[in-house]
Amino acid sequence: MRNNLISLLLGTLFGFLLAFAGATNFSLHAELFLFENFWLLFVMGTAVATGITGVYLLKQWQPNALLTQQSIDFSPKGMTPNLLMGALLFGIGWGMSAACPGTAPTMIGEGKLEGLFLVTGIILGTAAFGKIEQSLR
Amino acid sequence: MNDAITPALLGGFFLGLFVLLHFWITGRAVGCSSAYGNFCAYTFNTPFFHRGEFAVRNHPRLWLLFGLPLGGFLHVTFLGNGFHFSFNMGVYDAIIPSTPSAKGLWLLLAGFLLGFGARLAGACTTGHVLVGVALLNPISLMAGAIFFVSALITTQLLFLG
Repeated sequence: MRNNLISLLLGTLFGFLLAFAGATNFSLHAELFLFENFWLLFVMGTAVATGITGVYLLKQWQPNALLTQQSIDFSPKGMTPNLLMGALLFGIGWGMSAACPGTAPTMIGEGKLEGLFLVTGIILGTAAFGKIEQSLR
Repeated sequence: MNDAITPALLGGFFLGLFVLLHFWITGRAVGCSSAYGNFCAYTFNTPFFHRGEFAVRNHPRLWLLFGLPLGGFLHVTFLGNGFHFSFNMGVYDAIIPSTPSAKGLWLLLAGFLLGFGARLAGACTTGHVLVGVALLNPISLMAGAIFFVSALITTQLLFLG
């Protein structure tokens, strides 16, 4: 229960930061992909630069994770059989909606009703993958 | 430096710190899209949602997903224009179906592609871009690049096509 509540708080912080960074602002996405305003590129660039530096430092210092008292799991995501097709479809969804699975729920909290439709769609898309997953192997 | 982009740099810096904070506190990478699989475990009896990474149904990452709207609410209340309902997508409203029901269907379809595509690719913008690039994982770099190029082409076709 403690871990769940801490993740609830972490999610609250993440949603706040996504909104603060402008990731839930629809127009900023179109402006980026039409090369009119590179705000979100600066956000992503600074975020990954901070992440790369910090992960390097954490790997040097090797602190234990606070909740587990065990070493941090930095294992990267592996290859999936249809990664290219999946990434392509994901990008089409991003281009159509200016949203992603993290910003869509955040939008609901901001009162943006688009988030309700998007979250429903993401659940249905995830469910559909689960249904056909065995035939993809 | 252009003062106008300072908040973007600050926002990015905080998001990067958040990725690190999540690693340090929980011992694992932050993720969003896989939490939808945990949600599906409660609503669908499909075997896929009851084994592997979804074996633990009530996983903390599902609670992270529940926190996101709370964060959005706090931001709009304390740093934004205050909470009010809206159904306005800015510049997108000129190029997507305009009746509320058609717009809803458009968003459902977009969401479907996000959910289906993320599972097919193994992660979303959080797992592959914010975390995967921070780990310098070549697979995530490739996935992130395709996310970006695919969204770019889609947007170009929608607005200029």
